[in-house]
Amino acid sequence: MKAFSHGQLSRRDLIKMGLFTAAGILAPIRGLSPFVGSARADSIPTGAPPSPLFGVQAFTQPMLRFDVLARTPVSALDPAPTAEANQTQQPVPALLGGGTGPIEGRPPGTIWAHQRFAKFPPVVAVEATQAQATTNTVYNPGVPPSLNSGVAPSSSIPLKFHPGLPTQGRNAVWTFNGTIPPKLVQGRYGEPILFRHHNGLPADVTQNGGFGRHTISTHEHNGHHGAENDGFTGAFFFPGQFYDYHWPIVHAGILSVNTNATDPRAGSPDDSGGITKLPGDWHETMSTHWFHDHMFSFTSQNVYKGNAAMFNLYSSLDRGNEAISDGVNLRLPSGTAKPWGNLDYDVNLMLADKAWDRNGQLFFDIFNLDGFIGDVMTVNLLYKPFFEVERRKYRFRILNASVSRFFKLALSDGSPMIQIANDGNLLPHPVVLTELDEIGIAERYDIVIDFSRYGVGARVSLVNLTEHQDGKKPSDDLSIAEALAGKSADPCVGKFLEFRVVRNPATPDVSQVPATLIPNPDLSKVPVARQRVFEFGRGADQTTNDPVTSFFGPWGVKTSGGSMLAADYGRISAAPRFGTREIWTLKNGGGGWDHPVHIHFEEGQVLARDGSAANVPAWERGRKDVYRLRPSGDITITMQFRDWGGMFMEHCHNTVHEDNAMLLRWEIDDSGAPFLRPLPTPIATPQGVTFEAPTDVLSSAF
Amino acid sequence: MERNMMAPGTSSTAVSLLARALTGALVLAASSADAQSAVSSRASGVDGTLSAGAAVQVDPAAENVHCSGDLTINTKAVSDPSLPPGVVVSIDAGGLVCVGQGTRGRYVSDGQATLTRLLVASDVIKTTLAFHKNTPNGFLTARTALLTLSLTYDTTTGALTGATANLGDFLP
Repeated sequence: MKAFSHGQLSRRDLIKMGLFTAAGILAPIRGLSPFVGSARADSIPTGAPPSPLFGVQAFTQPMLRFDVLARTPVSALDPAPTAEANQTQQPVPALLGGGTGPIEGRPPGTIWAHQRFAKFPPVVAVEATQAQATTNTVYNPGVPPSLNSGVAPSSSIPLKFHPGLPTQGRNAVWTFNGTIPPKLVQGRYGEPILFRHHNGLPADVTQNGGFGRHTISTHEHNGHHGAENDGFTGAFFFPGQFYDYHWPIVHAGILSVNTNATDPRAGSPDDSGGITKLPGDWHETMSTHWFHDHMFSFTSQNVYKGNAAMFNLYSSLDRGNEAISDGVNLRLPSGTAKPWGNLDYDVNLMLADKAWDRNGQLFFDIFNLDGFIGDVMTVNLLYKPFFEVERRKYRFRILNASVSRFFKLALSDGSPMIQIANDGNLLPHPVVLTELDEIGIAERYDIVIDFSRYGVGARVSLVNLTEHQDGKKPSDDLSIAEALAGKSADPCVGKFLEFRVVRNPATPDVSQVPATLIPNPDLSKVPVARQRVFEFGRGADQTTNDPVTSFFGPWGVKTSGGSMLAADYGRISAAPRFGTREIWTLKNGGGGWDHPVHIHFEEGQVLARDGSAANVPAWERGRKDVYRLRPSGDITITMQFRDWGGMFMEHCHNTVHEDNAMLLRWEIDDSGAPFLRPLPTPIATPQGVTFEAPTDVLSSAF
Repeated sequence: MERNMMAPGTSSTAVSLLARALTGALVLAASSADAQSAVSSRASGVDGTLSAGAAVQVDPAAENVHCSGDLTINTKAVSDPSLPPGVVVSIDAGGLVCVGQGTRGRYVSDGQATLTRLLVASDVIKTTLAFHKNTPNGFLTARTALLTLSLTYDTTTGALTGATANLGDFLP
């Protein structure tokens, strides 16, 4: 087992040896796997012994708000960022093969240079190190203690899921700067960020606490930028290196819509309460992103291990100031002290189920290829916390950061919530719900809860209604009463975050939830250049055998009627032409399973579910980037392929499925130099990145 | 990468040790999804009243609201050899006509829900829906109703054979 977790033995090896079924499970034979499902009822849903709680009780610790990463002038970066990857040489540890290698892990050369680096020079730098677990001594929640359940900034925060739980070992959790709470980047349109991510993980691949990989690639989900900044699964980097990600933060359509930047709705908040107008389509404004690891075949392990953070994007529409009334600002719940980016009443929530071993250390079943489910509910990496609120409206940016679990959220008293965004995109109109739709892995729902309906002293909780028996799919959506009654065998059903109404706001709540938010882009004048069909299912073949870029497992993707293929990031499955629009139908060939499919690069619009627009619910009628297929379902979306180029990905975001091997590469490669058609595939080593020709180009790709 | 990142000097010892430890392995042929699905759609008449008393916390001026009309229920039962039979139930309350008993004003609901359920012969689903005045900002004082569905299925075919619905107050 250790050899497997350390990469000395691959899943490919195990299948060849007949020790893994091609259906993807480690053969359930006596003595083979300690993690094969137990007959004990309380092994739902992990398949492993229940996580010990060491006597801690729910709602006995405050929820910590996200830790805001510092924004510094890009001039402070040393070395200064460069358009092409920095190839300055440094010694490579013997454990990684010795010799020398570049300090930056980004593939070299013009194809992987930051596109339009001179046109969108980075202004702000954000630096972080992916590191082993440690105590946080520089916590910055961005709000005073009164708005953070009494927790002061710069509190010393050990890496524990609860004060009464064991401290996580250095290799049990790997995360940004090695600390909790999860990290938050704040950015605004028109102010490009250079995110320098250092890999501070152990050079020794065996030092991983039983799961996780020390090579990483960081995907900004769902940034609209060049592929060199998208966290391509094969563009990973090694311990001791850094990778500069250039996030230009532009509206989609910068080359074709509002090119003279005359529309204030396509704008950025300035530091004086005004607007800087920008090119692009304001209908494509985005608000709530996250960023996470995307290492080929190890994404689930690394994300689960802690490589996940969030990114709030501010715009002239969604400014993060609820008082400025200029006819553009939507004045969503946020705050008023700063011209933009107030977090007072704008709260990020990262939901994730976890499990731990008998020593209380984070645990992951690396043999589970169906989907791994934890049995302990965390919010912002804390076990079932409480959060103090005032009697007014709050915005919650909710992220499902699990690897395989779906959630369905309600308030314990059934009160309505207002959903204002889906996948980080403000909807055309708010949707009032008492029970949110099941939120799939990587989906983000922004909601507004008005706590003014409660008196001081009241308590109301967020409740999860979706029960899992395992990681294959949701098994049952319970009623609020059933979930609260504790009848479910799934420990993650029921209350998981308790809101405590502690006081009246010091100043009147001037925030608004307008009846119109952001209408969808009008695509009627954008012709459809091509239609494609992608089917996600089991029984994948692997037609290539590249030892680096290809993988196989039970899961795959079928493109335009071809074979069901396991992932190979050297294979090009689709190549939309630059500047065009396509319609893609995503089909569930997996029968009763559910797959939340994510397409990188740009948001899409849902045209139909199961062949009919009438089947698209109100909360999906905006823009999205994660598309739930639902059992035996299909979904038809439309996307544009513009402004940038390079190689991108499409995959199931049940990240265990992604890793085994439900992922494909598509690319935009015809926008001219420096791009080649097709693009060569980067092959990363500690001594540098080389390139090879694609292993395969599907006949339907171009 | 698993395939090219063997630590320098690693022997095949780890591999052979594991191989000797793992005996009697089974190899099963990959199975494609032999899933089948059955789609059904029914309209169920609803006639219920939401009482003012259940909503005063949200809106002090709450009134009784009477709703009637047809609820659309779509089901897709999916059988899959690797999973227990399940059904996706989609509800659309958009066809309901809801009128305030005091003001005679219209109330509306975004009124859609999609639920995952196990396929059983008889299933009672309790879910909540939000209703609000049909005014520009009415959604800010939405109230909660409890929808109780009684569904029956032919568990052999997955077809929905019967559906009744009741609408009333949600009392936490």
